[in-house]
Amino acid sequence: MYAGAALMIGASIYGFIDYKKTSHKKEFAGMYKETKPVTAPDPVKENASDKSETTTLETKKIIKDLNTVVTDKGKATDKKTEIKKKRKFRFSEFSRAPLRDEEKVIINEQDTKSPDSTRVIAHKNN
Amino acid sequence: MELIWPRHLLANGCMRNTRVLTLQRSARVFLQMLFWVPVGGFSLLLIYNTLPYFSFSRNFSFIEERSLLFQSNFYSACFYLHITAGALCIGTSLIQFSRYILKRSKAIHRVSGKLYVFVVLFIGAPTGLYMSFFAKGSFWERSLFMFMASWWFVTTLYGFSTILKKNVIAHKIWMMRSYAMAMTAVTFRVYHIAFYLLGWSHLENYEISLWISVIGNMLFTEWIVYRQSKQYLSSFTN
Repeated sequence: MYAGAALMIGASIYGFIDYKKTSHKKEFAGMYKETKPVTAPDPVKENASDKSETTTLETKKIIKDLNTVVTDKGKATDKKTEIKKKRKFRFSEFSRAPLRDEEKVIINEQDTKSPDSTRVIAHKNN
Repeated sequence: MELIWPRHLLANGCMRNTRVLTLQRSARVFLQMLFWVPVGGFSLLLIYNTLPYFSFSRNFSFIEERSLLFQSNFYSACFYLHITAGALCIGTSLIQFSRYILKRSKAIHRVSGKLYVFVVLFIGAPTGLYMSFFAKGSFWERSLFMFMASWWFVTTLYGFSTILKKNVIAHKIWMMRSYAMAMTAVTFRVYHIAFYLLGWSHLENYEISLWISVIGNMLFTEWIVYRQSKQYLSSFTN
């Protein structure tokens, strides 16, 4: 019992000292801040109508790659890429970690053969 | 003068009485199942989700978020010890509240109880207290984490000391309080997911889930204690 109590006192003293040391660091102040939306200019924007505010860089990369592939084939004349976010529970996320939305990359292709064809190209789970 | 009841009336009365008793027992078992099935399920899910951390990989969003803290070996050690302690506590406490196991073998209850007490007093609570200084949220959330660690320690200590004094009723009460603190890990996750699905932002969700899980668990335990017997309260004050 005394050993446990001593451990608790030790943990609180050491924790306080360590906290005082760490709290001066700039990284610590911004550690838990939520990720900001990507605002950097992106060539994908020309073809993509980005509905979500917090699109990850990885997802944008996927869209860029997909658009490049489609353009190379020369099939699609007018295409719009959308990112749909879906809040979905996964058992693996039963933790204290921040929960992330499931991102779906959807390309709406409008070419001469099939004017209103919509297909889901990629799923991404963060 | 002796009153003789007709046989058919007596038989009907007994039957009705037996039916009522059976219905009451069934309702009680159903309510217990309604409580323990989700508690057991979520506890096992928590333990299952803890296991991947023992690959010691840094590719978990919980660790990535605290990458600065995980640069310190002491913090990393505390984290791994804390999750081990948490999994052990939640696992062992599932057995502790079973009357069946207690009736069949007291040795199982004693061994797993001692393991629980040891793990909480020497690993879970001290590491939790250290980590609470760096917890997510404002000053109040950190204070709440500190309170949780301290209260978990105190309730477990009282639970252990009361059984050494053979005070079973007080032991039950203190252990229920201790278990309520251990279960904040589970209830927090349930609220966190529920509020996430309702569309709440992460930090707001995190803070509110934390407060509700701690206060909710404490109130629920006190309600159970009060409901079970008023004698419990008097023995606790003595």
